[in-house]
Amino acid sequence: MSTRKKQILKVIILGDSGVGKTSLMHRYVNDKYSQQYKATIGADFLTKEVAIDNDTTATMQVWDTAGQERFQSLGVAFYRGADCCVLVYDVTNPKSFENIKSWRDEFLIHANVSSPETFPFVILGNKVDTKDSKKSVTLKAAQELSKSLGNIPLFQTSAKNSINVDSAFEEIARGALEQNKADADAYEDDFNDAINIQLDGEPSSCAC
Amino acid sequence: MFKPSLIQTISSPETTSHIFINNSNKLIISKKNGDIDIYSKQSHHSFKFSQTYSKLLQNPTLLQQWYHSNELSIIIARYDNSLYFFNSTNLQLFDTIHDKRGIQNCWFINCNHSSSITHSPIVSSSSPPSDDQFIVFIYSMKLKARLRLIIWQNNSYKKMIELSLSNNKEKIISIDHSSQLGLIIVTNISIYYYSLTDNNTTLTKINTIWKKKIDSTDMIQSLQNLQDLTNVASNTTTLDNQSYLSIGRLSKKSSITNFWQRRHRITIPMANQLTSRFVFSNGNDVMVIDPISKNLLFLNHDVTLPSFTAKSHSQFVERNKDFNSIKLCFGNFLLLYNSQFIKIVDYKYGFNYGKFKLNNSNIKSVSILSNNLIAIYTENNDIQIIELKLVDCIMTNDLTSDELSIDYEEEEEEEDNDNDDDEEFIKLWKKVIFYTEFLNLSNYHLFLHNNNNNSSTSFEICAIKLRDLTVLWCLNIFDKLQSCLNVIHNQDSDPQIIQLQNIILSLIFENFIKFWAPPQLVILRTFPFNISNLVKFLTNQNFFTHIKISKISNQSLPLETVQKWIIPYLTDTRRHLKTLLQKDKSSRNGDGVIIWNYNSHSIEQSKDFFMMDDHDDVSLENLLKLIDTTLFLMYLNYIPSMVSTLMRVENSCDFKIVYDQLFERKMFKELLDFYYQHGEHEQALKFLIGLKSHLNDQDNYSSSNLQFQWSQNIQYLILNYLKQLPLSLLDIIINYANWLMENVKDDAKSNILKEIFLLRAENFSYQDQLKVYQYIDKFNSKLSLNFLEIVGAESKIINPNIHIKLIERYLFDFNNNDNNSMTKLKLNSFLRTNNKYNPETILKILQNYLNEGKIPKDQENSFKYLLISPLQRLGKHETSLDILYDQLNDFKTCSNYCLQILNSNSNSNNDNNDDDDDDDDDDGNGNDKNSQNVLLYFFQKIIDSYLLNNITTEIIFFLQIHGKNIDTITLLELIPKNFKLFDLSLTLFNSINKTSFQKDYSKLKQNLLQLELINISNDINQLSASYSILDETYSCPVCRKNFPIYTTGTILWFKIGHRNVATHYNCGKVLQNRINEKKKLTTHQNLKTIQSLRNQDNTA
Repeated sequence: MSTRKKQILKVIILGDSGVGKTSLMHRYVNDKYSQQYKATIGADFLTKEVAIDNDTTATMQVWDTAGQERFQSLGVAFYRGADCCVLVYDVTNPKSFENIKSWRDEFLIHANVSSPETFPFVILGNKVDTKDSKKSVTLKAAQELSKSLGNIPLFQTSAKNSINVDSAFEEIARGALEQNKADADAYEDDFNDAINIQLDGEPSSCAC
Repeated sequence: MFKPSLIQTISSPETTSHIFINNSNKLIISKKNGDIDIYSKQSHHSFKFSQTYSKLLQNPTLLQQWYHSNELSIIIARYDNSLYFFNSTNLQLFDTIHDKRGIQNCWFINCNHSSSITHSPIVSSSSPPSDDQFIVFIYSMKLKARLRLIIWQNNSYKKMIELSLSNNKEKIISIDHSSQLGLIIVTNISIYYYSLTDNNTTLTKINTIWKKKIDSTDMIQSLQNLQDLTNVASNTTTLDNQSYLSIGRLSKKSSITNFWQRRHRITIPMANQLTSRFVFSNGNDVMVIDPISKNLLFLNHDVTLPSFTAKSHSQFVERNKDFNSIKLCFGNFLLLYNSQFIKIVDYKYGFNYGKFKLNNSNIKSVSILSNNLIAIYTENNDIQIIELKLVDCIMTNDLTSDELSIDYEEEEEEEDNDNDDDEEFIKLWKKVIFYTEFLNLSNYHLFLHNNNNNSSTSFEICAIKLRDLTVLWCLNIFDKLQSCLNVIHNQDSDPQIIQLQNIILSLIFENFIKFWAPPQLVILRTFPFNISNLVKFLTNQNFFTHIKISKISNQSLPLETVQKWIIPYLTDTRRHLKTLLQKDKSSRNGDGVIIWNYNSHSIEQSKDFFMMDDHDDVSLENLLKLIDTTLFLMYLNYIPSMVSTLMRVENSCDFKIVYDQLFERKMFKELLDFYYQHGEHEQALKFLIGLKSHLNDQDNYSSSNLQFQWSQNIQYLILNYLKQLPLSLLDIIINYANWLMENVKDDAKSNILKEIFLLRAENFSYQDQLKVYQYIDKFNSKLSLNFLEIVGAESKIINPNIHIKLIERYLFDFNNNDNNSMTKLKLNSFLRTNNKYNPETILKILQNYLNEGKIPKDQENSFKYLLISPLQRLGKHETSLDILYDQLNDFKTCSNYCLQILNSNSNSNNDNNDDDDDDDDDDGNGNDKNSQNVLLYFFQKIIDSYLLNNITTEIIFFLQIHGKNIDTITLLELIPKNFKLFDLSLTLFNSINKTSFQKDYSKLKQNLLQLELINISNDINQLSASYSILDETYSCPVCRKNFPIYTTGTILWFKIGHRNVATHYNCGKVLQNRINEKKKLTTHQNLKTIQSLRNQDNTA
């Protein structure tokens, strides 16, 4: 007798305040975009059913966390149990790019992942729709960073114009699924270690 | 613990049965004479006699029991062969059922059944789940193994069906329901379920009962198993694997020893023993207590086939075997009773949380009235109403004097244990279970004294007490675990031992995480001794002599547990402490609080929550240091790959410990990260320099590849470190750059300078730019020039000396280098394109150079061109033209210069004065006076030259290029009289053309305006031509009076349709009003209201 846990892929989006984490999540899940900026407090999540490589379906739980420092301690509590971590920077904001490493490190400390070396991360350089003159983080610099962090997949995205968002999340889902499977293999099913017993009838009053 | 308080005794010697109606708060008592007495509930839970229904019951002495449904407002009287249905509000009999097969027992079950959930493997997702409310009255039969169900669905009668049990000797003992499966029917032989949404006519037996070999959710059970293994290990010195495995198997029912059970067995008659199964639901789980197999069965709803998971319940059964009746009391508490005692216990372990008996009477039955109120039906035919209250040393204890009539037995007396340690342990365990379950009660406040006032404060007190108890209990378990492991250390590779150890540790640390256990205590007691010893050192505390410090050796904790539970405890505590520290800093008084959530209650906690009792004050910073250092050491010992991550994030690790550990393990990169994170850059760089000599001194460096690599790459590492340093630390950067320059080969120096300074040259501060330049210049003048060029062009704020230096460098090169074409280009480009330099200063430098004769004669002219850009920026156009025309004889550049001025002015005019058409400085051609003056100055120079040389070419060129930009008359006035008319022909021709075009344009405009004037005049004439004759017969259409022939009054003239109408002035006003009203009315009629449309419709 065996039961398998339902595949829920928990994905955490991290990055500096204002890089577009919430927008990316809404673009991917709801295919909507709003120009209005509203700071995320703590963390929030949306779910989406995903089909991976046409043969696997799972529920992706996308956790959007607070980028603002004053709300960060709230969001950290939700890191645990993540299957994939998305690190977002803004191509027009070099500071957000510099902080990618710090976000990765903070995540690894608080998420307490089983295998930090192989845990799937994905880097998204958001706001590529902006004019070239405003872009201050080059693709080359981003590629170098992703390479230095262990060949992390890198995508240049725009939540506003829906550029590369779906393909990035496809990769995220794939990474999350692999991680989920690896964790599931380590998980020992309770019922594998169980025996079937029979109930006895009511004892007779006779003690013999 | 719960303590009973007697509220009231209702003496009624003739009582046959009673029932409490929740809806109406009425107690119904039936009597032997057929009367029914009604008692109403008053405040303070007492009952007052209300009325009697005389002779309502037939054969009243044969009445067995009452049953009630709030939702249906029905009470049912059970007789031996009959059921009588009464309306619960007026006790009117409305139905009767007679069954010759006899009625054994009855149940009213109220259940929500999810109809979308079926038992087939395919779960339909298309139909939305809908909850149906079923009320089922069930009675079992005496003479047949059958039961009859009367089913109401959503308060409407649906059907009545009969079902058979599989065995003739089977008797139904207990019934409850599961929202997914329906009714759960427990007999003396089997357990069945019956789905209310299906039209089955048979019961389905639940045959599958699983029992886990090791229950991963039960810490005590796991500890017991481990202790069993320990006993075997300690008794048998030469124990083989197989033998202790077989003894430790929980699958073997006989192997479930009675852990902390009574040793003295008392012989109790079978009828008074706990032998009957009992099914109940606590809202989340449906469970069956099976005293026969000593198992607690949990129903698994969510699997394809319904099944039970069994857990050992021997402790419960052993503790409560003297009680033969069970009722679900509230939450997870059960009420057990026999003829003498009533006992409140938890369902899992059966701990006694209140045991009492009545004075002078035995118990017939007990019923739960509501929440904390129970009714005891005594053998004296009294009904005693008892209220249960929480008794706690913290809570106020103001029980009423009536409590004296109840014998209350202290629970501690009940347990009998081998030693004091076990007794203390069980007390702790029992309290943990009690407070956990008590705080799970939704109506916990009812059990508190003064429950109206501070229920939330009481909850907080209970929750904090539970926290303290749980932490102590877990530490106690940890000690027991360690004792076991010390005995069986030689078998610690046994997978079963590891599994049990993991389970216990995981549950202990789960509790530590949940309850935010104090870090000092947890680390002292549960971490390896090399870490626990640090608590005193890191928190400067001297009171730990009375606390047992952990003796666990390093690496003895299982990796899986460390990773999954122990490290999360540290990271969570770290997070809480950091948040608290942040709040402390942001609050005015430095007393920040954070929220600890327990059972959806938010409880504010301060620093004290993380402290130990009787502690000296420890700062939050020191606590954080303890946690971070512990985390560091745990990573180091168990997950070394995470050390670098921790070193890179903001941490409060102890400096010395980190240094010693990392240095010893040669984890230099991590050490550098640590230094960097703490801003100890100088120390990091000193370390790196020292490391080189240290590694070189090592005898065996050649044998260690790592050491060799490090010693070879020190320069590279220092360079990398310097590259990362913030530019604000320029002194350190320069200091260690010096070291690098001294210790690298010459050919590498320029690269080092480039990497450290040039790659981020534009980011140096205003003050440091010159300093860095001077530093680079010491080593490489070419690179220093590059630095100046980058800073001069890219920096946002530039030190003016940078531009001076740059110009000086260019000029020096200009002067001293024959092959200076590139310098010329650069200088020219800089002067023309850079708009950040100060033109006055730069001009002065250039002029000084020129005046002092530093420029070679042959290059003087080309140098003079460089003066033009600063002059232009200063607005000294005449000087520029003087240089260009007089000194350099460059007509073309002069002309271009003028065009440039003209264009720049027209652009700025367009940008700034789009709306200012009447600009005074404008000459009418769109050129401002400034540029006009420049042009005229240039023209004057040309004329002066003509007068001297009599060369007309320049004048002609000027007129061709700039003629259109200057007023022709002004030009003609300036041109010398002897200038040939022929040379002017083209200019004049252009001028005539232009004037002619302007004239034609004006004419066209005039004609168009004339046409418009004619049209308007025509309209006026037409209006003037229309007339009306007022003769003697013409009367005013309003007042019907004629106009006087010789009138001088004013008349008003209207055009209505095609008719002219003249009226008196006043009449005209009246007519005007009428016309306006008519117009309004027409508009209103077009906009029809709903009312008008209705009226129209009605009329139609």
